[in-house]
Amino acid sequence: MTLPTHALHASALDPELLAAVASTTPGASDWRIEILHEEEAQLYVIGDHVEARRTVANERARLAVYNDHAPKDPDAGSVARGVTGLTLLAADVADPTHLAARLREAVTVAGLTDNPPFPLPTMPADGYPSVVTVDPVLAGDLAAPLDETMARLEAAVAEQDGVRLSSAELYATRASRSLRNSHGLTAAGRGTGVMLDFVLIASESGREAEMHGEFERRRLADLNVEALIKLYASYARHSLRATAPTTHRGPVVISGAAVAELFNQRLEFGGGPFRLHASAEAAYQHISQFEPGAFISREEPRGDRLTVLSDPLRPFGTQSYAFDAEGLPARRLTIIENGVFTHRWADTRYAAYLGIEATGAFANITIVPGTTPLRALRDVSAGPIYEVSAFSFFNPDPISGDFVVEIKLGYRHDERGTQPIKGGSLSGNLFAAFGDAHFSAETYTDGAYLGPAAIRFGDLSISGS
Amino acid sequence: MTDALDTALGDLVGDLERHFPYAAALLTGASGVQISDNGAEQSASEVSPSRGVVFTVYDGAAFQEYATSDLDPDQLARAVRAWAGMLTPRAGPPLATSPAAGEANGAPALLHKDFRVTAELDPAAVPLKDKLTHLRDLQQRAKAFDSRIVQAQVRYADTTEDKLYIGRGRHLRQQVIRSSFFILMVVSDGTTTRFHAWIGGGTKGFEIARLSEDDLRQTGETALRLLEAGKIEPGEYDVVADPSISGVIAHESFGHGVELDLFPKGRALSAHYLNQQVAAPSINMFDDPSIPGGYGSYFFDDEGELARPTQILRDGVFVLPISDLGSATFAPGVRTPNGRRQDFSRKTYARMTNTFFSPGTTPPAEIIAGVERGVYLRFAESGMEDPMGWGIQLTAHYGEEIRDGALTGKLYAPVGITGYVPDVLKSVTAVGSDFELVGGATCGKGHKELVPVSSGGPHLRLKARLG
Repeated sequence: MTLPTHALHASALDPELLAAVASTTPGASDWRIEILHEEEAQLYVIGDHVEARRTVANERARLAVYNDHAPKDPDAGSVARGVTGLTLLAADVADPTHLAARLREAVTVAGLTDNPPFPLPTMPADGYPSVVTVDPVLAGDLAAPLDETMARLEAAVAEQDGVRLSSAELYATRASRSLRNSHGLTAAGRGTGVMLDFVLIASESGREAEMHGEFERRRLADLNVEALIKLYASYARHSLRATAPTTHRGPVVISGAAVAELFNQRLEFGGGPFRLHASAEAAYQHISQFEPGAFISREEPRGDRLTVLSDPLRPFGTQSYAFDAEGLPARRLTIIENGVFTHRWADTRYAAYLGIEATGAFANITIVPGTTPLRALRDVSAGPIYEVSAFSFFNPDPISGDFVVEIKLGYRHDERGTQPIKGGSLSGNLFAAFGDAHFSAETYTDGAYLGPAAIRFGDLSISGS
Repeated sequence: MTDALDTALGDLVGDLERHFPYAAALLTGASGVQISDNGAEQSASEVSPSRGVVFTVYDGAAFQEYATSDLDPDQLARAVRAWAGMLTPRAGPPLATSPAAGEANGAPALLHKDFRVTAELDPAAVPLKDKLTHLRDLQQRAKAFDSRIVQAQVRYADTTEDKLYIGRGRHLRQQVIRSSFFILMVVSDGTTTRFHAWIGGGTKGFEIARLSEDDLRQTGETALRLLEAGKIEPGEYDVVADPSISGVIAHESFGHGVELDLFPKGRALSAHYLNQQVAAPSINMFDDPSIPGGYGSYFFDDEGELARPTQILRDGVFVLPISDLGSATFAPGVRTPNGRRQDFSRKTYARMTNTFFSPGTTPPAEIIAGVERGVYLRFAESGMEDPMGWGIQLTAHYGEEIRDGALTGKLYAPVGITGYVPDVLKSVTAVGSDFELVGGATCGKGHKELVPVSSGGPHLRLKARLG
């Protein structure tokens, strides 16, 4: 199915028009306008039956309006800056009187809030870097690639003994974004994305177990459906014969999607402790536990040392960008080097507050891998090793880094071999754990995370039977 | 919304209904404000309105949807007709009917209704300046509570959500005011940093941001006590669950576990346990979007089904799943008013609203007094469902030791609770006479499709594995 080619009032959400109105709004000391246009095709399947097809077209303008005024607190300096955000649809801008009123109202709202002054970014002297974020395959009809991918997925499942497809969801998206502000900054970019969500069910002797996978990529070719089905089918089969772990304290290997979750929690759940504590905003608000020049584990690491980079330049990274939400250019940034916290990531506002350089938003996370082969991390010569490959929901305490998480699937390696486990919980402290860690030489990526495929931590706890 | 748009939507749905077994339009919009204040910084912004319309057609075999933010009537008519022109009626399972609306024979019941939440303090009637002043006062009182408080943040949001559903002879409008309030107190002794929070949410107005001195003091004191919290020794414990923990147990076990869309996917173990004992006989559990003030409440769902309670567990027996139109068609099963979508750009699924265990007869103090050695679990942080394996995971922000029927003051944080759903629910030996619904949170389907919900119930005494 082809998306209807109706006009989305592109002229009504013309950035020139919005900029002209914002510039002439009394009291608008500064402004930023971002126009987003998304088209998406969605396909939902239950077993071999199409449950639903959807097409979505969404366009909106997000405005930030700033007002400088005398602060309510006379001790707070001579000028306070207020800011407010509003979202406009085509219908909002069709009527010039209505649009002007919305902006005047925004100025009034901004005038009610007091913040220390901060600047907006200007156009970078060297312009913006070229970052590859568009899959040409998704330039035309969005629905056809979904049907082709679903057919591949169904064929891949058919090759797996004792495993069937419960359900799958596939989205293909293309989006464009334009940005400008009152300091002359202008930027525009495009991106594509695919999302695959599936559930496989393994059956044996009347017993069943499921495994759920959820994957996002920029490029359809990076969605290796056959390999994912093979891996998750094996997980589903292992889950069928998994037993509860025994209570354990000591070395635990975390691998695959689970290791990526340690660093890269979904943004809708706050982005995770590494992103939070490395931010200038957290430092300004006195909640960051990372001190520049200090080990993030608080003690000198005994094993491999963690090196973390934020990388918006990675081709087809799901969190890649040429310019971030406020227009700062993409740059690669080393956040943690050899276990030591080195640089805060900062937007323009918090960079100004802390007197540091604005770096742009945190992007794809890169972890420098180790030199130890994965099989060596599973070495059982000193005793049994537990490995966790899938969490139910990794949701650590954002402030302390403490975590308790159910084991969705894992393995116990000992001299008798490998036994799948599930249930029970894994607990520890995310930062302290890196005081004794060894990274695999093999790497894994989930589109945003790129780093070791497994990490062996020396001291974590499992609550089991 | 203009009359022209209303008329255009009705005409378009009428056209579609002539060709397909089912057609409907849902128009959504929202307005409101979100405010945060940490003492040094303030912000007040409009909530993201996420306005748009979605047209749904059941072509006889599958659901087809077209969703757009373009609300110009002429543009919309052209686009919808172009989209519908590519669809063909097919043969498949009959559409589920709605027993509550007189559709027993598939004949649509004519229904025109206009609903709205009436708030004690209508957010639209409270000047923004007054909201900011009130929240700044709360923030300053929180910050001044103790010198070890390194950060006190206050967040408030109100949304007035407007929806219009047209389809199957129904023309339904609702205006739902939904507000949330959150105060975070981060404490540090120079070595350890901890936090505690107070959270509230409901289909209420600005009254949600009232916080008593007692609540503020308890939040601050708990944050400070957590500086001394230790790790719990992993193992099985006698547990007293506070209403937030009880609610998340309900939500993750026979909430997610009985969403009817999982049944045709073969993902719900509960499909094999209909009318069977799955919990202690003292357990009764409901999902109810019609509760006044509930954070997950509404008057009709996103498919025009009027809100009403669904009893899921009766005396420990699983009696009814929750459904949306698609799952009631494909499973098939009974239609309940639980068809919800994150926003117009997302599909409808069977989703929870306000999910809870109903109260029993034992006073909470008596429940704690009856525990010789155990843990009182407080302040649910998160949970995760496992509808096929019936595993349960939830995290309590902290737990307090119980010895000889009394709280000792010794805290553990955080505390993870895992177990097998029937084991946990059948281990319930006391159901409190109290009741509380905890709102202000969102629920996902897996890790996406977030919708506002509440969960709750009374205090419960049970056995669980902690770690």
